Amino acid sequence: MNDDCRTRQGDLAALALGRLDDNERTRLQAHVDGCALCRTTLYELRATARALPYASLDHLDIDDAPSSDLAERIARTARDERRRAHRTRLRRVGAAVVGVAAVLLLAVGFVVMARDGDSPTALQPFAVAPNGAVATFGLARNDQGTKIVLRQSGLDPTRVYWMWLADESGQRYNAGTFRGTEHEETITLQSALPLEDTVRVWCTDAETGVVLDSWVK
Amino acid sequence: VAALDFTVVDERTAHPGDDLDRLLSCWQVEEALRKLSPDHRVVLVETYYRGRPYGDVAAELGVPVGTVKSRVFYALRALRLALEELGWQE
Repeated sequence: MNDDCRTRQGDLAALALGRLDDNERTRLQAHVDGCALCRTTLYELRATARALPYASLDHLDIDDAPSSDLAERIARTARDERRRAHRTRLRRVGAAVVGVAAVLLLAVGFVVMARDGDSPTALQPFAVAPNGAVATFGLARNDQGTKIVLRQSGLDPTRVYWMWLADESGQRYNAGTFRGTEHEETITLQSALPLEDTVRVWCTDAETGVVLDSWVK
Repeated sequence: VAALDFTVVDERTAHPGDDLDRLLSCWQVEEALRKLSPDHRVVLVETYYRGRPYGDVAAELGVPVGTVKSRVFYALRALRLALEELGWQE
């Protein structure tokens, strides 16, 4: 730094603080444009000047004691930040709980679906049914074989009926028993025969033999 | 599953730490100003914060205007060092 630059230091500071008039600024800028050292100095002065607005004269006690309300301002802001952080944490925990619950619901639903298998096919009437009786059935695949949904009315309430499924070879698989009802009732039965192997669905009773009968393939 | 379709919305549009960062900056600058010598601090307070003309400050202090300008220059240099000691980041 030469003497010429040294004499301009005060003006550089005034320029950084925006305290030069137009003529002074133009003259000094002409020098700065051609002087790398003064450009660097001005750059640093401006960087420091940009920090000044952070301080307020209201908070800037001229004595050496810290600003009287500084501690309170910091404490108040910290309290606000903690409250905001607490609310955010609560929101995140709540969202996580909702998420976990949703995942559990999905998992339970998946297990139930896996246990219950597919939805049953649309109910279809039995090809053979006694007079006065109305009976329809639907089949659904599950991990135990085949679920049978039976809707019937008009079958003798005093009798016990056996539900059967059979495969192409004629091998029959018991699907459980039920009683007839005069009013319409829907029940679910279960057989070990896989749905894809099922070709026949029928019911028997002890006296008349085949009561309901239908081929599904 | 509707329960999965949630969004965590922060009611604040600004970053939660902005206020604390600004307060920390205020504290750093005020603290750095307190570290200045009285001669340096007074010229910054009078010329920058109170916006008084250099000539008025010079007259009040009984020094030439050039001296006030020079003190402002060295005050800013000293302030820069003090800020750096306090961890100031531009």
